[in-house]
Amino acid sequence: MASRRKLSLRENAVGYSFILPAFIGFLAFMAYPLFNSLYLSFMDWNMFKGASGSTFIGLQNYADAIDNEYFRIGLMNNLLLVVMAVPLLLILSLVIAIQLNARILGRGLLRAMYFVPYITTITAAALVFSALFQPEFGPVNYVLQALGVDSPPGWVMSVKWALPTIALFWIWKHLGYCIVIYLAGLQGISSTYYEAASIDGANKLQQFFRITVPMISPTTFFLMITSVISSFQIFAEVMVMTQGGPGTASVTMVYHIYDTAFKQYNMGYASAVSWIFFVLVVIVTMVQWYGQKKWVKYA
Amino acid sequence: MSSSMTLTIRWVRNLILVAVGLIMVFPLAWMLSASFKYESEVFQMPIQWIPDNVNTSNYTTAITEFPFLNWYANTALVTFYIVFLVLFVSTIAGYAFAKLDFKGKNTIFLLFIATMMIPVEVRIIPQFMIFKELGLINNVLSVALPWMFNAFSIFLMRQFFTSIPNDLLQAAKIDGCNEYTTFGRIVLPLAKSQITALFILAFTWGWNEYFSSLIYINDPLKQVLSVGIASFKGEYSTNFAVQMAGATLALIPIIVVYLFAQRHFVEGVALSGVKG
Repeated sequence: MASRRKLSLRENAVGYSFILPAFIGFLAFMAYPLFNSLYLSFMDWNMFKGASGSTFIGLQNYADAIDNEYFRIGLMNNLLLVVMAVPLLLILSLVIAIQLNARILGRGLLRAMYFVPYITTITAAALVFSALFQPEFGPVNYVLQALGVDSPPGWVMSVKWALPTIALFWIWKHLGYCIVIYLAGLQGISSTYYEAASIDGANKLQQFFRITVPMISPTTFFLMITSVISSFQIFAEVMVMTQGGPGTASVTMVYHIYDTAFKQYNMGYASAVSWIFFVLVVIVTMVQWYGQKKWVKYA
Repeated sequence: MSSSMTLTIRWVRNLILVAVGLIMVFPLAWMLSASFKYESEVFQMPIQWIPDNVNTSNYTTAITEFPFLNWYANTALVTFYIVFLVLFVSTIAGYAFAKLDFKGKNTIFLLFIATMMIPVEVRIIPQFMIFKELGLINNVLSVALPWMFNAFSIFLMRQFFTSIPNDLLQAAKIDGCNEYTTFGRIVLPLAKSQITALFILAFTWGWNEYFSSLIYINDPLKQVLSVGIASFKGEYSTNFAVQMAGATLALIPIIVVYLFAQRHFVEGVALSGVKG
């Protein structure tokens, strides 16, 4: 429509006036910072040296990042977090959402119980988790010992378990969100599919894999994209629970950016890392986007 | 399948759902219980959910040792700004992208949408320097202002506004409304429930904002709850009862708001999964 007829000056002006605040925000808090951080990533600039102390060093920051052990560990840990947390989160939330979608007693209350962690302040919840998972006298290990586990994990105090503990916390926090999104998706599946399938003799398990899983795949795709991005950005959990430790066991990319920028004031280097991080997020998202054709079914 | 078997399955299913639900709320229940205990009782097993001697001194300690009132006020203020900015900017922009014609509309919309992939970490250093130049470090405005542009909420509102029938807008124009009065008198009242849902979403974003507060604000008195509460771990590394009292103080307001507006919270989140 818009292309067919010529828009009057007035019409254009009205349209622009509606998007003006958003556009100002876009320029000031998106476009400018983005280009500025790209520029900074080519500079050697420690904030303490002041504006004059910056020199152009080309791709040196990028090379430094790739050489930096912390960067490589952070990247590795981020990938590990995705692999550990995202599939588990999606499977758990789909299974629970299907159960909650059935007519059961106390559905509303149950839904609220699952959802409450999502709205909690992350740092307060992280304090609680640190206490619960305290290795020597925390309730979690008490229960594990009561169940016969001789040497329960050291959780955030252990090199091996620090990252899985963060993943567990992250899953607990995001489960309710995914359940709600799945419930919305499940309500869009017409019950006639299930009726037809049960007439044809398909059992519940067959119905789940042949009807529910494919029909819900657009929702799974949406949740996969958003969860992968959100797991890449894990930071507050690390900050409160482990500070990247023990040793470097739970350093993530965002923690590395924070540490180099706002503890060491090495703004040029941190900008380069944040750009690598950005490109990585784009690549991972693109891979998922093009991969969707293989498994996402749109009705 | 016999009916008794279906009944058993239903019971098992319900039991599992309740068990997992209890695991979900367990940390918060434990926090509340521990916050009223003496430190020596916090890790006593088995868990005594209601302590024999209810101890409120953890709360007194938390409130007197930390500027909780300031944190509440600052968090409320930052939440207010963020809610206002998100609602104002996203409803009008969302409406323009859904219902108005102007040159470059699709390009600009695409540009906006593409920014959803940009992690906040990429922008944080230049933004920090902007706010430093403007003297807004240690001011909650530095946390709130970047919310002036939020592609996600613009997209959300646009999706909703496209479902308003054009005939309705045409009719309003015939009755003498211009674009602004049509928007104010016809469109906004229609969007009440969507706006409430976005309000709730923006409220949680604001109340729980952490990363930018951590970076732009370093004066403890000007800090917000989410960052302030994190400092408990360092200051009270061995006193878990006080930590739990602090965590409870941080969580109570948002949980109370949630209990009152549960439906809207869930709606808001469900809305965030809208597709294309």
